[in-house]
Amino acid sequence: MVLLDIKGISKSFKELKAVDDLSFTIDEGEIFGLLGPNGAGKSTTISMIASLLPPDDGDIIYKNESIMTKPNKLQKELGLVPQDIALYPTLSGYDNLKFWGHVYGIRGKELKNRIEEITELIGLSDRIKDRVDKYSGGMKRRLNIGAALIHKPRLLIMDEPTVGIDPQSRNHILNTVKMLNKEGMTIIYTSHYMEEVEELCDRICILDKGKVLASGTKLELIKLINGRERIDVQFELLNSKFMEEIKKLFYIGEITVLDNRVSIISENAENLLGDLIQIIKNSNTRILSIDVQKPSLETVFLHLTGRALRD
Amino acid sequence: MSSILMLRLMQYKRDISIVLLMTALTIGFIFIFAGPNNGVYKYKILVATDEKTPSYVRFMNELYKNKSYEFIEADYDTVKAEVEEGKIIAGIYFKNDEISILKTKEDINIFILENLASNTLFSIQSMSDMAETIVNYIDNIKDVDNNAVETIAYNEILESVTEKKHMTVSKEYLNSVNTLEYDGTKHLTIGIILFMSMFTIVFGIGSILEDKEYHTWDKMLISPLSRKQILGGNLISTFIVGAGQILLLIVLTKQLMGMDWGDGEDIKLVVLIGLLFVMTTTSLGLMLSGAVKTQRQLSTITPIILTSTSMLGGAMWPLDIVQSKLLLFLANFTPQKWAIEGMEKIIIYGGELNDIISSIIVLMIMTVVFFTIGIVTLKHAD
Repeated sequence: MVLLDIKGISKSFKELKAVDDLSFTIDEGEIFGLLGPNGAGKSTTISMIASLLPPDDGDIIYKNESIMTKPNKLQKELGLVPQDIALYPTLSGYDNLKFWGHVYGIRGKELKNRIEEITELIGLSDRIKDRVDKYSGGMKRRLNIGAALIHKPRLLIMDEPTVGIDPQSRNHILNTVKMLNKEGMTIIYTSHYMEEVEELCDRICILDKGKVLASGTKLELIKLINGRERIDVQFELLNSKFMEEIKKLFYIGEITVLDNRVSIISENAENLLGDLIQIIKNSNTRILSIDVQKPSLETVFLHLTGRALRD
Repeated sequence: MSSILMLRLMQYKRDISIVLLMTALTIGFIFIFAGPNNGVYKYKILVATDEKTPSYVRFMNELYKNKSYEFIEADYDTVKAEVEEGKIIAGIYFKNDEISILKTKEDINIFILENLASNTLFSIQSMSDMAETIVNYIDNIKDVDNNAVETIAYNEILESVTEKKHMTVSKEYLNSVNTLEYDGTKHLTIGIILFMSMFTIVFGIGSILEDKEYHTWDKMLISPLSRKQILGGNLISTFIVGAGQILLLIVLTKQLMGMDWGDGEDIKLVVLIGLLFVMTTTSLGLMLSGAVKTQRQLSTITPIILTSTSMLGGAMWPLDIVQSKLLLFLANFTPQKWAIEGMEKIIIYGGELNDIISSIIVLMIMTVVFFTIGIVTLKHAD
């Protein structure tokens, strides 16, 4: 069942077209990934879905009703984990949860119980009475998620929830997302960490420069590159001789150069690797690493845009 | 809206020390500037004369009534020496029904003293002239008929006593022109309370900017709370804290310093003006919050705006001593001027509701104007 239907939405900020005729649907109970580099339009899309920004064009339908005209229905059932920490640093974690619970009409014992549940879920039971400005980055991120879950939202939007945190907190967040989804929550997950999106999402929409480049399940997207592998070569100093020689190989695939790194997507990575080492040797240049990667979303993105995801 | 009230209450609870510090500072400033023992610091002024004429005696009797200075009689050499040595700010030399002020510099207190002395002298001379006229009149008609004199004198006295014509004119003159009848303690107490409470109020409503910095503003906007509820909650919580602080300061100054806020009816009117002032300042804070983007920017501009408008509006000295027409004109655009004027009319000049109508109306207009601008700029900033 389609929960959210995005119909041709666009948004411009002066000269910049941040989102350009974007359309996709999100089914109830799925984790939908929005993948794209910084500036792809993910956060603008999220803001429009959350009814924070009105689209210039198009419409957003939630449970068969436009949120442009009736935002209330969505607002009650939406939980937003913004990219930035949205908490009151001088208040305790408990007071932050209490406030957000109150905002959504939860009171008294119900609120108290709900805070306990959330505190346990985000693993902050022993620090919940401390002021938020005493928390580590990871703890703040977890509380940020907790604040969005306090009212048991039906649709949870998570905008880059793991930016700048330690691996332990990151794992905790990813596990929490999986658990929430298992319980039936629909989740929109945006990230520029390809591994996270690959691990979590049922369907993925790849965005770049405000447009949908591709969308589908992970397998469907990888099919776009026909199972080709990627070889990344990191040079100490890339020279022109190497580039001239490598381009002479008739079976070479797509080549992308970024600073001193060369990425090659090829159907015949095994043969290419031998030739590549020979060319490196002949071109008298030093390399720092060679990395052969299995087909991944990162490769798909590189194939679609000619740029790496984290550029 | 109750969620926002709860939030602000939790924040104030956490930051209660700041609110208490502001209140304590206000009391401290009042204690320092409005002086101990329920009075401003009294400058000692020495007065000298060569001959203690009736005019001089009357002059001194009038001066002794003033609460702002302590007048002491001395000989001319002592007065001159003490002025030159800087022991006193100025001295008065009374000679042949004229006065001269001995001073080594110009400042606001000397300026006030000069006005006080010249007005007092003018006042007693006017009364003396009037008395002399009456004496001459009686002398002139003395030769006519004793019965007629008696009748005329009786009628004259009866008329003056009944209508109190000359007394009324004299009193009105003193009240309207003699700026120095004002009570410095009360004026400064009112001024400092209003000035200091403005900081609490403006920074209170500035929490909206904090919400934006903490990214909680956007989360609130997408929650079931409407924009009106969010703004309403912020305005009400700020109003409650601002009003609470002003009321607390009124009580504390009354209890600790014996400040006379008048009787029950007077206090009601003072509180009315105080609450209106809180409303106006809350709206002013909203307008300022809409004009800047961050709490830091608000923290930068607020002291500048509040201090300058407080100076302009007469929170630190009476506007009567300001001579610049431009400054007096600009003072009309500050809420401080109208609030101080309203409160002073009640507790210094014994005014009633009718006397403070202009203050009430202007403060209400300012509230509406600031509020409207604030709402528009905040919406534009989003």
